[in-house]
Amino acid sequence: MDSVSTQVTLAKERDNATFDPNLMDLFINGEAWVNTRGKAIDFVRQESETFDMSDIYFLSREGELNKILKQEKRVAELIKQGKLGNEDALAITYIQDASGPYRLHRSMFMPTLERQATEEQKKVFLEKARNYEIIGCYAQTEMGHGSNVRGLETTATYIQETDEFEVDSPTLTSTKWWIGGLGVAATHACVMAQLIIKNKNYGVYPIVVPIRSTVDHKPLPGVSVGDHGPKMGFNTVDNGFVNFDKVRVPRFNLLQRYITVDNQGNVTIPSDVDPRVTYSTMVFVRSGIVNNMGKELSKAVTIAVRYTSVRRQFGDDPNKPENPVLDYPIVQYRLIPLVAKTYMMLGMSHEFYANYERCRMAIEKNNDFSLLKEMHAVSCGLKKWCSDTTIYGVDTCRHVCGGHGFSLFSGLNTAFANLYPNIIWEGDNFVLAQQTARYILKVAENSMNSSPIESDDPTSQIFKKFKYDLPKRKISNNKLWNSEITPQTVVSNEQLLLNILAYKVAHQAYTLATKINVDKQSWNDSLVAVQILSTVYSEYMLCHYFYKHLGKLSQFNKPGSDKLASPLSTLMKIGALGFLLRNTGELYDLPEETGISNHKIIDGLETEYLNLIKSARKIAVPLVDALGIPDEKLNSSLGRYDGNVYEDYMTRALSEPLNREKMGDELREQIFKRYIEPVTKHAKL
Amino acid sequence: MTLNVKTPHSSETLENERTKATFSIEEMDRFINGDEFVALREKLLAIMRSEPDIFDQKSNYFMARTEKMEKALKQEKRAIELFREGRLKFEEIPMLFNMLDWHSPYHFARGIPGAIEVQGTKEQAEVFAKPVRNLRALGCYAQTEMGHGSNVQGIETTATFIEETDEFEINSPTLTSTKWWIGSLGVVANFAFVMAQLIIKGKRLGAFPIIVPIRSTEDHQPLPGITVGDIGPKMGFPTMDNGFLRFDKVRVPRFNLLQRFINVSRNGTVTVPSDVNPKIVYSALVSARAHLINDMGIQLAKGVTVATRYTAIRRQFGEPGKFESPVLDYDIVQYRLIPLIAKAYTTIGMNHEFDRKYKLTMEDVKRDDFTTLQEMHAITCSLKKWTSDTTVYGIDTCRHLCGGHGYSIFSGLNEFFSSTYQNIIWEGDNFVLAKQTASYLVKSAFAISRKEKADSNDSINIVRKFMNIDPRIALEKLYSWSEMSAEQIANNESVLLDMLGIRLWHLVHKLVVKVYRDGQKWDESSVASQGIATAHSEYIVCLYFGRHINQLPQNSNLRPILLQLLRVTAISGLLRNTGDLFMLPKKAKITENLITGLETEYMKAIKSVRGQAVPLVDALRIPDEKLNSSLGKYDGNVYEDYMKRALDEPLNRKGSGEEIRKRFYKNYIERTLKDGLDQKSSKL
Ligand SMILES: Cc1cc2nc3c(=O)[nH]c(=O)nc-3n(C[C@H](O)[C@H](O)[C@H](O)COP(=O)(O)OP(=O)(O)OC[C@H]3O[C@@H](n4cnc5c(N)ncnc54)[C@H](O)[C@@H]3O)c2cc1C
Ligand SMILES: Cc1cc2nc3c(=O)[nH]c(=O)nc-3n(C[C@H](O)[C@H](O)[C@H](O)COP(=O)(O)OP(=O)(O)OC[C@H]3O[C@@H](n4cnc5c(N)ncnc54)[C@H](O)[C@@H]3O)c2cc1C
Repeated sequence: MDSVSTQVTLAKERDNATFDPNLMDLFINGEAWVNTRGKAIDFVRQESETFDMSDIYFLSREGELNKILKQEKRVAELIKQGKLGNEDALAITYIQDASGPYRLHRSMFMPTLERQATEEQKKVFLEKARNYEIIGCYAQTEMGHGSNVRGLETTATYIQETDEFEVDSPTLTSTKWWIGGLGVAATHACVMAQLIIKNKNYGVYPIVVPIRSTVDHKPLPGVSVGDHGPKMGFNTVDNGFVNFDKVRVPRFNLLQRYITVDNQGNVTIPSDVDPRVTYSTMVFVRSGIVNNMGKELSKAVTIAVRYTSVRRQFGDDPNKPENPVLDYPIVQYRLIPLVAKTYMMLGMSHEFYANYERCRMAIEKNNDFSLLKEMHAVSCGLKKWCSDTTIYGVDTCRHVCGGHGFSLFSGLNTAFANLYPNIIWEGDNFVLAQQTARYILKVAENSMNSSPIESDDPTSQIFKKFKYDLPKRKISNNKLWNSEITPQTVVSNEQLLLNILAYKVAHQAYTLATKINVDKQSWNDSLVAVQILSTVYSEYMLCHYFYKHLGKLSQFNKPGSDKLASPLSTLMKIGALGFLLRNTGELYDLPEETGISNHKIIDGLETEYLNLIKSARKIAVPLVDALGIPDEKLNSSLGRYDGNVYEDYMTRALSEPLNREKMGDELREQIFKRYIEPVTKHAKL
Repeated sequence: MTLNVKTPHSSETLENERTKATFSIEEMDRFINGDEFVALREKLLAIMRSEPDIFDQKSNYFMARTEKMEKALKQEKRAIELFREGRLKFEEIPMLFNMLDWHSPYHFARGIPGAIEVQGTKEQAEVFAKPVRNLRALGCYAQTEMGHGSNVQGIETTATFIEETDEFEINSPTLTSTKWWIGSLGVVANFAFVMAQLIIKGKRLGAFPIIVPIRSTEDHQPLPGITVGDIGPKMGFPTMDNGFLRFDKVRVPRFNLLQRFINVSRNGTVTVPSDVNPKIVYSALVSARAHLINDMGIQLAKGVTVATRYTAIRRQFGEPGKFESPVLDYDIVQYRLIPLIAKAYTTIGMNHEFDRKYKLTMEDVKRDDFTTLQEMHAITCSLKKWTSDTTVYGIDTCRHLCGGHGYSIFSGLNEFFSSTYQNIIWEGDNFVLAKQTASYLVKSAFAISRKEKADSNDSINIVRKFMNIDPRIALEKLYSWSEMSAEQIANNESVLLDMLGIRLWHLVHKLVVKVYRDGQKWDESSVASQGIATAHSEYIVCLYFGRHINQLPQNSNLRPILLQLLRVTAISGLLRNTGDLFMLPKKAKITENLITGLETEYMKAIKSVRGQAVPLVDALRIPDEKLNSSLGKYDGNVYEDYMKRALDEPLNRKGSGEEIRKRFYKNYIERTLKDGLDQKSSKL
């Protein structure tokens, strides 16, 4: 069979672009990020001696830590000199596709101080932290407790005689565990402990505890600390354990913005703060994850799309090149919806983040907490949805690459393993769904009790639109849709798609609320339905925010921006239809009057879905190019921009230690002498 | 809240769980795993435990890849000694490595004799296969190339007949023709079973196997014209030396072409022997997949053992004043885990029946009777897909169920996941395999509808039944569920089987219409094929597992729980995408009420198994050695073991660990903390 070079194939795919990928990049990633990303790329290229990651796949754990610490040191140095900001540091981590031991210092230790320390405490701790004179970590989780923070066992007991707190780990399971930055790097820990004053337990509060000497970095007296060993991924971070044997710290170290303890052991809660502020920290951290996931899935779909368009397998005509596997419908079916979801997450995050900022400003400026609850519910739901989608999306991208996906040189294996904790930390996904569902159910119950819905956030809008008709015990059915329901009307009308998705949320929420309130079904018995409700709701929110972002296109006044609308709309439809068809049972389950629960429509939608996917296939390569992921982050033979897949793959394989000159020769010689020769001796073939 | 509620120790919690068993663990072990397997397992464990310096696996988690490889080679060397002393059989060695929970670099070498015997003449088997059976020569199976995996006919390596010297010349004409992924090749093999395009007198005859020596039997150096190496680090499978191989016009005697299905004479005349049926080649594919299916049950058993024991112990949240609840008491945890226990049992249990059928087919094939081979091929394709999908993603669920600690290597589930993963790719990528099963079913159904001849077997008969062309069957009888409540159905495995059957028929029927009436191309049918292959598997595994359970006497106390597990698997399959049920024809009377009812019954069934969860995984008898897990240890000493392993992390070790930490500090951390500071040192 004739063959075509992979580079030529990829170039031809790029000719199919109906839009300018650079412009798309600006729109979907946003100008600010495109600039920050560009700066980070320039930086790592300039200092490639320190920042080149191409050998990472061969390094031992120690080697990985050594490499990343060297980079951390350099970045910290430049931050101190004021040449880089925190945003830049984050962008560099992103390009490097690996976190280091200082990550938690930046992402958790300092933010906690910013929010929970008094001005005086900030002067002492935060300023030093900003200047890297101390390196901190955030020590909440213990061996025995993660999800249930209230169950933590570490204690901080006030000792009035010396005006100190005594921090103690009373049991094996109270050992702090999983703490990033603690294993080898940190000098200080922000420890979450049960606050005990005069025998009274006040609950869990943060307290700053020095861990290692700032002179020689040796553990301080009473502190047992170490790295807790190899992990599935994230091995460039030194997650560690620490156990306190009655360690004393000054009273001052208890972070006292939300609680004050005086030297008599009197406890006061400042009147000007609302305890709900702690929620806002969680919302902040989860929103961060929500915003990151799209950027991470971008890497995986870039690799998978480029590779499946140059990978050829089977063909009908022996005189023609074989087909790119991306031409097979089943490959498109697995991959194209992930491209759509990537775009939707990226677009959504602009609007979602703007909403988060609005909520934050309302709290900070006017002490107005009215937006927080909804924000919290959405951030829990989207954190779960985005991380699930991304982690399993990366897995699908790996599998779609066939055998070569299994090689580390695909770039997808370390990505999968490093991203994986996002489904666990900051609230395990299965636990978070419960928080989201609780909130939706409350709004639904209000609607069922016909209390007027005052607020105008996206969740309220759903229930305003689909009111509950109490006597009929279902959604009131006057004028459900603004147009007739046929497969064609549904796919040609984003607003209708959104409405159907919203209807599904309302329907499931009312049904579950009825089961719980009327049929007295227990919460534990509702947990499966709760997971589904959270998913359906998040799917709607994703579409809602993405659609809102598409609305911004008209203000995006750049030559050629009109060409962006059509592909973006196709992606939105693929995403939304995919949600409708995820489990068609959910559609069949809807009341007949919706007109969408019959198999004629559903079969029709399935056909439309496949057609849309096929239509996006043509522009798949330009779409992933527009995501703007540099080769450095891809670190992949299969996903390279230039399409030199096989050459690069071979080059990398040749540098495998077992193949290297001398070192490899010796390894193999040794293996032969010790194990193979004694077994096969005197063999003749 | 009070802090001092003293929770029971984790090992005590586990002991309490064990008292709930309603059946004998020993009896269950023997029934589900089979006497033969139990005996082998015990024999292998005895060997492993008597030589801990070779077989202890605890330290593996800290090793670099080459160290792991070396350790596995050492174990293999010992295994071969035992084999030569007559204490281990050739076929038993893979199970030794399964218990060690990784692979020997010789793994693929052991598969070579079988491949040669299928493809070669008797004489060739004698010359090439026999030395491998004695491990005097080490082969590898070199089919996949950098550029071609799924499409074997597309491979580029050539074997050209050179009449002058009566040799074949093996050549790798392009970069993408480099043999790739070949297990046991990177450092071990000294010859390769190479699939190459046979070219004789300028004519291309297709891909055929040929034996090519690659390393010297004297000093193991690559032979002239051979470039060979390891392909580098992978997601998992670290002990395996998957390799690459290139030929620069390497000559081998004509004799090395395996000639059971094709003969090449001295002057290059090609003949196809009339006395062998080329379908035999299928039987090799079938065998490889049958082994894989068998493996999957054991692997999933490890996953659920770790997750069940740990979630029974792990306590999180609860009411004030009481012990916190084991997370296994949360419905959503049960919903994620219990169906996997059921599927582990189903996979292992159904495998007995599957294996019986498989052996019968192999007997048939030996007698040149190919009537059962086609169904066997369809079944192995779909079961390979189903068992590997279920197991790989089941292990992932087990890991996630363990929360943060699942992410530690000491959970035992991470390298394990990564090294089980390739089963969804090799021996036919799962997405490619589905088509084979679907096309068999769809073609047969079409033939039946046209009153043409079609096979009569489990797979086809169920489709035929619901095509309802036999007017003698009354509809109530055909739709056995139609007069029943959801609860009655959920407790009746034969009705559940019928429901799985009608769903399979309907999916097949829909595709028949699309392909034969609407003229849809097969390529366009690959999405629908996935659903058909899965529905087919779900029917077959339940059917087979049910037959295995029926071997038990009616009054056996194993029966009730096994039937319950079977039902959980069956309902789980039915409810996977309820849309498939909703769309069944109205006359089948599978109503919305019934479907919602089944969802309720499903949760009830899951909960009813919760009490037996720990005894059930105990009875699978995955030894601590294979678990190699702090979280899943039999004795429940989770946290103590976890701490011990963490302390053993190289970074924490006395001496060597201190050295590393000092170096990190001096080179980087101290520089971060102190560079650019004025003298006033920061003391806090
Ligand atoms: C790589 C990594 C880095 C980390 N870094 C840090 C760090 O820097 N600092 C820090 O403090 N922590 C850190 N963590 C810890 C992380 O926050 C916890 O692992 C997480 O909160 C989950 O808690 P857990 O591990 O105790 O899981 P568990 O709570 O034990 O969960 C076990 C299982 O039970 C289920 N479950 C629990 N409760 C319920 C319920 N009520 N209902 C239903 N199901 C339930 C969960 O879904 C899960 O499947 C890190 C973790 C990882 C993996
Ligand atoms: C750990 C490991 C060990 C291995 N050991 C060996 C060994 O010892 N010897 C050996 O010879 N090989 C070995 N292999 C190779 C293995 O057999 C191949 O990887 C496998 O056959 C898949 O082929 P591929 O990698 O070329 O994938 P491809 O065929 O390139 O597949 C890429 C993607 O395209 C899809 N696709 C391909 N064709 C079609 C189609 N017609 N329709 C729809 N979709 C399609 C696939 O589903 C996949 O998603 C090993 C592989 C691994 C991962």
